Amino acid sequence: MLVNNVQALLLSDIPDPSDFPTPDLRQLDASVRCTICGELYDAPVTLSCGHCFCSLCIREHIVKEPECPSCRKPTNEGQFRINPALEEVIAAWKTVRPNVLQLSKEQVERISQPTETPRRPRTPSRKKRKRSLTVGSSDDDIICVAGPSSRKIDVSRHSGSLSPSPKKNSGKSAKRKDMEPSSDPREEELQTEKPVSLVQCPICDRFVEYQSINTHMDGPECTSATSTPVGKRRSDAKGEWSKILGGNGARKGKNKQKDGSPHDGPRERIPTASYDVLKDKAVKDLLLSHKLSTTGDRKTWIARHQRWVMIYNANLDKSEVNQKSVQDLRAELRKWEEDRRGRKNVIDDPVVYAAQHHSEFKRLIEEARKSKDAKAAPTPAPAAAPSNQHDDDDIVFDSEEELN
Amino acid sequence: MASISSRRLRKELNEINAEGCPCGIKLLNADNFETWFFSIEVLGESLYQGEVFKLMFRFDSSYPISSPAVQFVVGPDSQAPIHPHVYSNGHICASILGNEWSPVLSVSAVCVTLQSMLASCKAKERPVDNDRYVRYAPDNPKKTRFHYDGKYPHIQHNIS
Ligand SMILES: [Zn+2]
Ligand SMILES: [Zn+2]
Ligand SMILES: [Zn+2]
Repeated sequence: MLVNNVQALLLSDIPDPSDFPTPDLRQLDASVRCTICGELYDAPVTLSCGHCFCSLCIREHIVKEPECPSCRKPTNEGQFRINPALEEVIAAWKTVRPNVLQLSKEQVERISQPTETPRRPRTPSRKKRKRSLTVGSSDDDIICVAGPSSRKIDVSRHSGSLSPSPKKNSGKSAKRKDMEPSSDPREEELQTEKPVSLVQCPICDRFVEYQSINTHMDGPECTSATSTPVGKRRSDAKGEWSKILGGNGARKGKNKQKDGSPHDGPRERIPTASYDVLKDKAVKDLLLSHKLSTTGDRKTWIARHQRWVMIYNANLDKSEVNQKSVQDLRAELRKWEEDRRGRKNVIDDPVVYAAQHHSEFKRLIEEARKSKDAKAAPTPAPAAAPSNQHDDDDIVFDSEEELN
Repeated sequence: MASISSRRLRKELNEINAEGCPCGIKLLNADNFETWFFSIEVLGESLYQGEVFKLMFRFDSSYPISSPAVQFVVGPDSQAPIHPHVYSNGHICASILGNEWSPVLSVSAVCVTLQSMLASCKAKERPVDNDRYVRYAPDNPKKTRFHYDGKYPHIQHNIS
């Protein structure tokens, strides 16, 4: 089962800078990716140091460590500045990326293949990952990689697009919507993930199929929800959210014409809670106030609420037109909980693995010994000793270099 | 199970496959997104000339927000390097794996850091508290709270 999942993931198309055949395009693709998750920025926020991350990624990080992951300058949520200009770049890049990828591959093919040996042109689905996944091919291919510094964000480039004014994009909403169908890989996952199990509705205590809990809670059969036709559930949810948050409850672009309600300003961020001072009932009430499940123990509740606050607030760091509906966010939260459960019970036995790649390792040991024996003969010094390659990297090596 | 951590690891694997590992480091095994193995040797002049070590990375679903669990594999064909920050059970006391971890770091970056930790070693010796530590050590080195603050005389990581 695990193997199948891994194989599925290996075969699935996960866009990545290494898709591109040339370094300049790889660089371009890398420069619009978050250095935490490696995805194209999702709700990019810029910190006061100028470094930029997906809102959710940096929110997750500062819970653990209130500092910039790139330069370690202290930071907090109050510093975050949204970055709608970069968001537009990302949206445009998502649209043209497949074309650019194909064109660049075709160009490389043309250059590398003389006309007298015409070969079937590569289709874009033939990826470099056909290569062996275990051991990097020949030594000629090995390049000294200077760690993460090569993917560092150019501060000067991004700091110019700092924008403190939120969400003034509604005029472009139609265009932008068309431009990003399901190109967000995370969205795709949400759509394909279909758990089939019953959960208890936190509102009416009925047992409902897992994937329809949202529909249920917003629908007429859930007792505490008003009996509105399902078709209008979004505006219904909107009303609920307005009550709780005093803001617009659902995705604006979709709802505006439908319910005709005036747009009453951006939704407000959920404040973080000090769980330590809250009794169990208060924590539960927090969850219920957001229509979240109250299954599990106190620890689970807190984790769930904490995650919800992050997902919810990060969503508000997007341009309004890109914001997801609360239903989508709930689905995201559930997926996150599943992932967590799925990974918890994986305990690896080092001994089992140790035997698996015995032969390859043995060969390397022998090679190393040989090279030591051959050392008597004068050989040119290695092109780059590891300690010299990374002078420009301020995070990784300084602490270790000063060990002795 | 295409979680953020798996996707991120998959991207790192892509990069390794496309550009190769840093010099002296080879990917031995990455069949899944829980455990990866690398071989690591120090190139050039060092106390570890002619020695190859095996590194094991273990990831949980919170990678890269949380650091991977990294250790040298001690088994029939591989030993932990003799180094003031490496215990004989393969556990490593390196701040980058603890409080100096940052989610923008990568598996490659960790390998290179450990490589340079070995390269800069002046004396091959075990940590002074090796025997005591190894006797009670948990399976997962991340469950150990290593002191990077010089509590033990041999551990003098410079925390900036
Ligand atoms: Zn990110
Ligand atoms: Zn920074
Ligand atoms: Zn302006």
